[in-house]
Amino acid sequence: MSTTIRPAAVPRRRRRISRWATPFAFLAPVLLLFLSFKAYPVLYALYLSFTTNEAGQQLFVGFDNYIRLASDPLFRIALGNTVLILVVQVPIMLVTAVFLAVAFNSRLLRGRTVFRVAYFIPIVMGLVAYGILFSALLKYDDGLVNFALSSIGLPKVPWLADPFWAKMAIVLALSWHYVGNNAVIYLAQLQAIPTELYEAAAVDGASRWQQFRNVTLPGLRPALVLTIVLSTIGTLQLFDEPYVLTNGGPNNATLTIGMYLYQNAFQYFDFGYASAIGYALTLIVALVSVIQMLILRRRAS
Amino acid sequence: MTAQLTTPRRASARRTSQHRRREATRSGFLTVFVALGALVMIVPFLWLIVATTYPTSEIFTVPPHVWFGDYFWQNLTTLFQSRGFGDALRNSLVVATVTTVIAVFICSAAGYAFAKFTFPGRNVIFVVIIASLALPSQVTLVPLFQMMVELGWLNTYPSLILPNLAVPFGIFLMRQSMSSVPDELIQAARVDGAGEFRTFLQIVLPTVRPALAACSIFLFLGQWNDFVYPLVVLRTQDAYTVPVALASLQGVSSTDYGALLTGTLVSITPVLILFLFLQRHFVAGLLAGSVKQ
Amino acid sequence: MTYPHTARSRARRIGAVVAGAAVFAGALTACSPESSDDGPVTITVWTWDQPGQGLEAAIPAFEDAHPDITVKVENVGNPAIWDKITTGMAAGGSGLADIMNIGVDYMGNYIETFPDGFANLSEMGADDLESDFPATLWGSAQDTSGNVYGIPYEVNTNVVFYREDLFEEAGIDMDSIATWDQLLDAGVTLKEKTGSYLFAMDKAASESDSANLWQILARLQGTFFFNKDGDIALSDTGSVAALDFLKRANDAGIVADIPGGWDNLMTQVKGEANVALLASASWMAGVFPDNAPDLAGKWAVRRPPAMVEGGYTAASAGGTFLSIAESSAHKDAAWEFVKFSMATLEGQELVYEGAGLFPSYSPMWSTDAFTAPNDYFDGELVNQLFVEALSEDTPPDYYTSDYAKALKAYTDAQTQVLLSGADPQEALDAAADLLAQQTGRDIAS
Repeated sequence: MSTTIRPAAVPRRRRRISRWATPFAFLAPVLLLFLSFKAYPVLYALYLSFTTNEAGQQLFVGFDNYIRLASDPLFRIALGNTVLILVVQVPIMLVTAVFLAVAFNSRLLRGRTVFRVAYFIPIVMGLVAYGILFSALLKYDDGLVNFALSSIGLPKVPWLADPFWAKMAIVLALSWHYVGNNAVIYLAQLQAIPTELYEAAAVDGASRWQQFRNVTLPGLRPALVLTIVLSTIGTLQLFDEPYVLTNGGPNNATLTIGMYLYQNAFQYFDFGYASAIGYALTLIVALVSVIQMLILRRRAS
Repeated sequence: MTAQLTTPRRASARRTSQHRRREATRSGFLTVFVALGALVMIVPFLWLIVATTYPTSEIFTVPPHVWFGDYFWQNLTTLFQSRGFGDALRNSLVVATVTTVIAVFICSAAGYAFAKFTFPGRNVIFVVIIASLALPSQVTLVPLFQMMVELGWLNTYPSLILPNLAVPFGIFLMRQSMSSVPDELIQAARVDGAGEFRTFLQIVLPTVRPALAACSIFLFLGQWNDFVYPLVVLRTQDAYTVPVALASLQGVSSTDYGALLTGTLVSITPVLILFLFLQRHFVAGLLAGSVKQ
Repeated sequence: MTYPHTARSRARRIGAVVAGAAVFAGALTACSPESSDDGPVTITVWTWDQPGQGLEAAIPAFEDAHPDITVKVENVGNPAIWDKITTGMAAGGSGLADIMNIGVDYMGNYIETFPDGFANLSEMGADDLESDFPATLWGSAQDTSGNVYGIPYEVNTNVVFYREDLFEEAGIDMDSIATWDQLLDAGVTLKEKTGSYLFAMDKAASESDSANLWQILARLQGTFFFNKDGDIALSDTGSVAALDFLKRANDAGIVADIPGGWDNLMTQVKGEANVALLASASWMAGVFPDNAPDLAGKWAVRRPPAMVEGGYTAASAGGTFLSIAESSAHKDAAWEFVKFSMATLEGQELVYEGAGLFPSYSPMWSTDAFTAPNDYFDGELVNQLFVEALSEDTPPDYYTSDYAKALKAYTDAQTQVLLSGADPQEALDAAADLLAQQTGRDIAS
């Protein structure tokens, strides 16, 4: 993205128009579809966030929903839980994914194809299967996980019944679900790193670790930016895991913003308030993303 | 990882036997480590496979089954005969394939525009598109549904396909990978007299093939597993997609878990096949890199 | 393709793209079924698995009598159906099915939040049917001015299922137990003698059904989340007594911690969960023979004990309705089908045969097929037991539009009490305060 190119030489008179025409031609389908199917719903939700349902009528109430949000104890709990899961889960998952991708890309790993598929399987599991599977696995008395723990002499863990362990269960389930996803993106990026760079580093006598730090990591940068931003957004919106595993409990220990938003919209039918939560979330995501971009950019320079 | 892409023969000529032993040890460690992780990843999947071979009343037992039952064909028959699952599979395949093919193409084009051109509003447009990703779909569901009602598109393929073509994630992914395409390559194509579109199609796209493969998987998967939106816009059972059909198997007091889990297994299979197929393109990208010199 | 060089050709090209998209969309639209208004009428019903089977069974007879009407039943699945209906409601009532199967817990909220969503059935003559249905359920589908928006389909009453063999082994005579406190004492004996827990609870509330037992105990004292004026009753005497009972039982060590959800319920039914009593609802009676055939004659069923001596021994356990969309183009045809399937003996017998759900239509209760003894429960007249309980004069449940919020506030309080030993009164006071702040409702004094 650092450099840009001018289009091929064209007569000077037309240069200005054509310089813009080319990128816009490439952009046109996306722009058109985006304006048709995204802009209206997004703006409508913004309008909804300033309204409330009064006996079937959407009444304009100004910033009431946002004011209510600022003093809503459940929203604060949800925000705290979400940020905690974000700070713990995303780094664990992404670091694991980087090493996995490097391993998949390594000549030293045997049976690569089989392993790649194994790590990819969790991503393809839909919500319904995921819910049934994990509640079966995490049962206290006869779940597979506790069975495994006790067979190696460890105590059973109340995975879904204890506030702390419920959070851990979400972190683990989330990592299980998406680590392969990120590894695939890294793998695609790793293969774009020219081999000459590794060979040059080897000739210079760089150790494996030095090669990793000086060749692999910088080469992965675009993918790292991508996954950090997307994982952050995904985790801030986190809904599936608490929905199928804990229903936000016990006692709100796993209530996330996404979960709270869903409850307000589809259980309380309060779409105005849910939209306000959605926009508050968007604001948080924007802030976090800007901060991340600034940090990542500074690191790079 | 040293000189990881050199051929074994060249490598062995350079290496001492001691070196080779150390490599073997490392290789063993790495393989065992990754294998342990892989085991953790697939245990739930194995449970699923075993579960599909039992009737509903015998799936959740204490202790859990460790071996297959003999009920798989009955579950499969129930699923396809009495539940019309065949329709759902066909709908999902058509919708996900059409969406993926078009979306990958237009997202690449947009990614290319963002990565390699300057034009007024470039950053603003990009930020707006990415920011739209941050708004949870639960709050845009109702207005989008309303649009489909007014367009008269309920229960149709376009209602599922068109809103899912301009995917912010795909645009982001393609922009990132386009930015690592060397500028010289594009300039060279232009000097050779290739038009802008041909340059994109014949020079740029092939160099980002691994990213295209990755992008395709994620777009296909996103559409394949999408649940709430298809649930609300589809009105008749013959138009259901796989996740909607699976959800329709759930009742309050009488869920047929045998059919439900079998349906889940069947629904995973096409995506796994797609992954197996496309991951060869990741590898192809790898080989292309080593041949170049 | 070369890129356009002038603004005009650019505009033309964009136009072509739009047209192309439209053609593409049109081509695909043409492939899918379209409804038409002229000629015979097709009406659609949204429901889920089991009630769907009941309605399917009534279709042939209905279509014979109404050759111009075709009925299509779409099984949407539960809970998926609620997201689907709610979206249509929020979109101004558009895109809904003609007839929808609605749970009593959602009914009040739909009526209050989307008053134009359902057709007013009183205007179509529903009021004449009132005397044929249980009053508690009928009232739950009425708005504040008494207009009816749903005809009751399935009805349930709370009952307890218990393992007669285990009770006998511990030397407990169930007939001598009149109150829940006596049951608690018996539970302690039972635990000592047989090692079996008395009942199970989802202490961490991982599923939305974890408050069911408390709801039974509160109803047995004539209270619920809200009272008749719509005030919050969550922290009144009866509510606190109910949670206090659960705490005492939990402290006595006779409550197994088993998460909610269907499969966990089944482990209890099958006798795999070491639990001797299951406080549940009448619909469960049909679940036992299919899932625990080996335990025939060992499970017994009876009405719940009272919370205080001489108090209520019956409590409603909700039910479902059929409602008609206000936006439906075929409201009259839809109403014909609702009337036939829900409010005639001919239709109801077919529906009952198809699904086995307990009918709300009270004339059904005295038919022959219905009064037969139940082989699984030792020849007991199970349906008679349910009818007696349903006929008892218990106060209606006031769900209101804030039922879901109240359920959540209560469930959190229950978790605090059962997992961290919080005081029931304090926990429920805090829950009531939170609920009052969220909903603007008063707390009943």
